[in-house]
Amino acid sequence: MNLIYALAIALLTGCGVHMLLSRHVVRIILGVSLLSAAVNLVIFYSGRISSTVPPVIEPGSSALSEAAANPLPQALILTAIVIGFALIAFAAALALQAQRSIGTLDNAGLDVAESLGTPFDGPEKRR
Amino acid sequence: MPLSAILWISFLGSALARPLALRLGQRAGWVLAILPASLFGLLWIAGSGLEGAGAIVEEVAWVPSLGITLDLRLDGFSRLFGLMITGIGTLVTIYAGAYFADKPAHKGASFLALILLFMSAMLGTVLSDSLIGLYVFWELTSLVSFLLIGFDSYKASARKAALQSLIVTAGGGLALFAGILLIGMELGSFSLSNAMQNSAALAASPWCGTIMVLVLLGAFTKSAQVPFHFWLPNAMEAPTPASAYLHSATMVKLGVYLLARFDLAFAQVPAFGTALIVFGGLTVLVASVRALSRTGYKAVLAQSTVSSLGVLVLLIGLEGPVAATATVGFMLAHALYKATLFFCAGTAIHATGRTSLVEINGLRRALPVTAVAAALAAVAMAGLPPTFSFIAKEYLFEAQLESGSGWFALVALVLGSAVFVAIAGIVSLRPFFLGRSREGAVHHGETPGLFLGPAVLATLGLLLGLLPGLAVAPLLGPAASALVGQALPVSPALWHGLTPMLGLSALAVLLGLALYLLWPRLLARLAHLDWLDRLLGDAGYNHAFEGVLALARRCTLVLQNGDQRRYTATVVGATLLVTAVGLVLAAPPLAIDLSLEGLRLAPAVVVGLMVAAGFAATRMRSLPAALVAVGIVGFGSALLFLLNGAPDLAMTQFSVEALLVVILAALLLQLPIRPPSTRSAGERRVDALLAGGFGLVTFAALAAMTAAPLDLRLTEFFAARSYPEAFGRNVVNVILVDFRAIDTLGEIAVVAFAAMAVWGLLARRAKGKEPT
Amino acid sequence: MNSLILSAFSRFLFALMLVVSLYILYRGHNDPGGGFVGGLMAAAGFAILAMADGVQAARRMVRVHPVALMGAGLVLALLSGLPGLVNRGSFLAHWWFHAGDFHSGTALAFDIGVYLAVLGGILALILRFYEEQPEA
Repeated sequence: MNLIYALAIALLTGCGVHMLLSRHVVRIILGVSLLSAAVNLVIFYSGRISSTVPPVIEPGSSALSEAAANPLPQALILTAIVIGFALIAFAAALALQAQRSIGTLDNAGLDVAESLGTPFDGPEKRR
Repeated sequence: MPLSAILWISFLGSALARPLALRLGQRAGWVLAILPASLFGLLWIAGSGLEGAGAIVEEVAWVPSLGITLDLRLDGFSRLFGLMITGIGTLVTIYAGAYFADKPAHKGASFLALILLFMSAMLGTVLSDSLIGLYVFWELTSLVSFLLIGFDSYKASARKAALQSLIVTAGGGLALFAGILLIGMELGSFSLSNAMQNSAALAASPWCGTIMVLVLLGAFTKSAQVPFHFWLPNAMEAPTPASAYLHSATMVKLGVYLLARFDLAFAQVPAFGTALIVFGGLTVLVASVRALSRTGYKAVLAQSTVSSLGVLVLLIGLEGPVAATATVGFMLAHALYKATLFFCAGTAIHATGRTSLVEINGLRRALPVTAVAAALAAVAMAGLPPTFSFIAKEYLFEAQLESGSGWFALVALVLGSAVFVAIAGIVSLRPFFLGRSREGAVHHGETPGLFLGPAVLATLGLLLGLLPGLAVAPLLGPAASALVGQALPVSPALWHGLTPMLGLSALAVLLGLALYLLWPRLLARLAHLDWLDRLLGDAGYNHAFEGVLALARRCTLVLQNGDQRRYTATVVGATLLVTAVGLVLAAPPLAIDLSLEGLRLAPAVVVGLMVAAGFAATRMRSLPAALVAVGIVGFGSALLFLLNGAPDLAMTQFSVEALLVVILAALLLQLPIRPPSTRSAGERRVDALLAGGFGLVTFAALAAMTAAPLDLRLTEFFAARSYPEAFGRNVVNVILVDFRAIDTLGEIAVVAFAAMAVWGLLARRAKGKEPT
Repeated sequence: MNSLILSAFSRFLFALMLVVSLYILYRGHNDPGGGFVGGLMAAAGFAILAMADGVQAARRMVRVHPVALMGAGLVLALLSGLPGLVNRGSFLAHWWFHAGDFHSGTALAFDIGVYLAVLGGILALILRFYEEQPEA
């Protein structure tokens, strides 16, 4: 089963990177979303996916049973999911604002900074 | 008085100097000179009890956890330096006050403040016993000298010279720092005196050669030794009082100071002495040739300073106790006459508005006191009796003869001395006593502030020559003793009888006279030799500098071309490369359970769906469709969590996925559904390659991870302690709200920041409407 | 999106999700759940309301400014760590009181802070994304 998981995670990572390389901002955001899903699975995988029992201590016992899943990666992923969501929401807000004020989300058109010129040109060459 | 108090007074005083100078106006130089003068007094008193190689040590803790201190130490050698720094500092302050009298008040005030700060930094350098402290002060002198050299910042040449000196000296400083760290590593302590006493341990260290090269780099850059000799003459762009200070007594001699200190530490490394003799001698020769081919008043003086520094470096490289005496003697003598000559040059340039020696003539009548001082200093520079320099020069030749270090050092010293004689005539006889001053050529006369410094120093040079005992017992004896680490009898006198040294002196003087008489013809020849200038000047530095700039420009134009896809591709490619190389080099065992044992149908189907959706997302032209596909991947991972014992994660992922669709839908509502493709077919192929490579590396990394043993210590800790200590049965939640609660606090703060940012970002647009 | 059915149903759904989210928050210490999930779920409830009735209606239901809600959550989480400083010398070392098999303490306050911060933050996001869209 590990083989299937590792293969799937690798493929999803590749898909995320491919979308990340697009020039359309929305695709990039979707790529980030894919990539963060894949990375969460990497963390999950690193704690070994072997058990189906939730890491909850059973009543009457004071310690987690051996059969339970590894709680450590779960705690890490839980916050990562929420933070990843906040990141994507922020990126989406940037995109929304860019669409409203510039009118395009194609990177080729988002060149307000580049049209200022390079520092190698003298000040007279810059606009 | 503790040594740290002296440093505190110095730094606090220089911090207050600027506002004070602005209030005082014309008298600022005289009043501010009280600071260096009183420091001079304090140092004199503090060190008056020193005998032989004794020292006053004061321990100052700084970063105890790293074993870094700011220990201070005053012995004869650092006291001599401290006295030169503060003594000449006093005169420079007075002179600078007068020099800036006719310039805007804020300029003079800033300059005085910088000079005093510079003095404090140098004082810190020579008083530090901690190598870390020494380095900090050392770099501080580089920084302040950058500001002083570039003081006339409206001049492009001044800015260039300032940058050049900073790059060379601060760069050398970094090398020194590396050397210091290695010393600390090898000897277990950053104490300079400890390093001086542990020469055997240092010589036995495998890093000894590296340390030596690094320390030499630091000292050679600071003291303008070949091949770093080019920056110092360019630094003459500084206002003259700064030149007098930087180049006579002090900053450039810090390199010499460092070498003299490390001479003991490297006592058992013969290469150290050889390197000093070779580079010092080369510097003397190069600077001598260049000094004779210049016409600028300050330029000639600067080249002769480089030559003097070469002499000092060479002297340190020589063996034997006389060399130590000669070093400290020549150091003092040079400080006295070179500062005087710089003062005189400044006054002459100030008076006439001209900088070339060819154009400045017969200033004797207009500047009488300055002329006398210049004459005395010239006699000293030529090494003629009865000045103190004569005594110093006798020692110099004696040290050479005693150590028997070969003809190269001897030739360098005699030639160097001969050129000193010629330069002495060129810079004092010609401008002040020969020829006739042109009518109305003198704009500014001399004022007490302008002639006090040269007069005092020149007189001192003469006085110490007549009564050498005055300098020896309190100053030179302890200084030389500190250098060799044991009490050293020093008994200089003007007349030694007919010795070989006297013969060499006479030879040097005769050669020098000949050079002086031939100078106009020599100048005409040398000044037109472009190849000489290229070979010995800063052409190499300029090429390197231009090359670095060109490289930076090319890199920037390639990497920073304004196309975001290229940035991402660069980052992805670099990450790919680093990870792949790391995996190949580490060659970890790759273990993936190739059998399909433990295969469960439900997760396998979910995984298959996720991959299919992921691929679909990359292929979809329609953005909403791609959003749905990405959403499927998210819900799929939630299902995976649910199927593998992580209900907390599943719930969170489900909620987040729903909210994500809600938010991204708001964005998509304002966009065309099928935006045109942004990538060319070629770019898509490159991207597919990058993405495929990334997937492959991820797979290899996961395989390597599977092979590594799982460290379960933390998991076991949480499993065992969760209920007894935090009274919670859901271990995941207990980790979040209890064991690692501070992390969680930080994470909700990040969520809050993101929300605030979105709130502000999208609110600004609401024109005319009140932001809610 | 002015569907009467959706509008009526959304209020019911909203109330249900809010109650469930509070229950999930509470039970989180011993069973799957907790502040993060609870806050997200409550935010999703408000999102349904906002989709059905519009942003203004959702704003009215919240009564409090979402950013204030978020701030309150952060402050609560921060304050819940202070008692630990007093007697255990460590920030966020929680206090507990026990009644038989029932345990509660400042950890619950911390989790409520997480709940409020997540809820407020995401609410702020959704309201911003859906308010005053241009007519297009």
